[in-house]
Amino acid sequence: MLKIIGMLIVIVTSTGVGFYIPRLHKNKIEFLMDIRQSFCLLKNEINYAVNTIVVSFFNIQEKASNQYVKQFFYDMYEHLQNKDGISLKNIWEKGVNDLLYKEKINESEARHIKTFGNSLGYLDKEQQLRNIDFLVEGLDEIILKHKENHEKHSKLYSRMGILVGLMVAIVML
Amino acid sequence: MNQVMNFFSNSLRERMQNLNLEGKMLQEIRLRVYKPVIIYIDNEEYFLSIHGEISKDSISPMIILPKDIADTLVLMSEYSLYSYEEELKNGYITIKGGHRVGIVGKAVIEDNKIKTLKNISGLNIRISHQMTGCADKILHYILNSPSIYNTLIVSPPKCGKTTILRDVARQISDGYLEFKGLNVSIVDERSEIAACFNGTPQNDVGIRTDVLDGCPKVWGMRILLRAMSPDVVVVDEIGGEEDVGAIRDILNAGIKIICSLHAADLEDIKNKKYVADLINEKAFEKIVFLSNKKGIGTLDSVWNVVGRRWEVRDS
Repeated sequence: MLKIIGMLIVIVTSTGVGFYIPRLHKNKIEFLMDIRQSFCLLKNEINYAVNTIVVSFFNIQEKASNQYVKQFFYDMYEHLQNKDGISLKNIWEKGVNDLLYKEKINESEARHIKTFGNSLGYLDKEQQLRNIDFLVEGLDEIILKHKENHEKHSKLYSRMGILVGLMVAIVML
Repeated sequence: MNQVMNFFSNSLRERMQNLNLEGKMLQEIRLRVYKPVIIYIDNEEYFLSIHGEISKDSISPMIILPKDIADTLVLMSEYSLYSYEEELKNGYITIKGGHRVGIVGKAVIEDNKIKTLKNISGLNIRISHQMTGCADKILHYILNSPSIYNTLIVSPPKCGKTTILRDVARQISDGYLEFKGLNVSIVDERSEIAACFNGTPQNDVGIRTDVLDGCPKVWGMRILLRAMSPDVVVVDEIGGEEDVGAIRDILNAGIKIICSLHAADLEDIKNKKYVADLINEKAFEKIVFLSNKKGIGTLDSVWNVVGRRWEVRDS
């Protein structure tokens, strides 16, 4: 009886892991899409409302649905409001590191977002908008790559999970 | 002072933060590349030293580097120079607190217009001081309870026209003694009256006042006429043909107007063709002349329309 229970636990756990890994990938895609969305909002803030970076960050954090993105823009807003003399580039880099760590975004994927902070606020409106477009294009490529990987591997992971569970259960017999 | 301090680069902030200016009126801070920092306090000129002290002699002065100007401008623009593009073309920005920052550098010209300023080499930070109550001495000439007289406030530059116009707007809006407040609309083309920052007036312009900030006067007057149904429209520094056209629209709609004009006296006004036409048409019921004979904002004379003539009411 104990053996059967043990086998069931192994199968359920393995299957769960098989479904959990694709879920993680999906979360990462949704997270990247939320970041992308926030930069589209930033573009609108700059282009149509002609708001300052500080006001734009506050407005974006109010509209963002992802809690990490929301927190990121709120923290940025707070730092900039304090005018503590730290450069925007440094504040941005630290904030982006913290944000991207939350969803384990790797260094090469984070590069676009990090370097975006170097010129944020210094350029004229046209260049600022072009800079955002460039970043959004970069994010689109990353998201597309993740989506393709997700479609390719999600079924594989879930089937592998079931099969590995069954295999271990058979070995246990 | 603390409010302005937040906008300076670190090196400037370090030297200025210990200055004790209590009871003194800080007027201007001038930053010029590779030149000493000059501060104007109570109409006196001082130099800022590298030790963070001020003196009338330029002893070990703090010299401004291009980075100080760049960092200060970034902080003043809230890291968003792009959002001040239009103001930069005019050579100034208004920062939080209503302080005006004059900016010079190299003008970039495109299609015979200034596109922007680059290589910024100098900032003139003019500290805003709202003079609440400075219009008391002219207010009773303007009020005609329950409304007001169409009034033109005239003076040469630097005689306090805008400051008095702002206080007039505030008092007409809030109400003054028995006078019940009216809905006032201000067209603040150069953000000098209300000193709006991110849409919020930094100066007190009254509880019944709407401000259309950064909008050309001509458009602004017509927008306010249609959109805000004001009792009084306030506008600074009129002069052009189009300004006068918009003023006629305001008056034709039965709305009162208070505006200001750069001129020394009535003779000087006659040289300003379009405004002179308005004066001859008796569009204004009062003309208030200011000077700085006894300090900024000295009331020189008030002219009244009597029949078809202008007469001095008080001088």
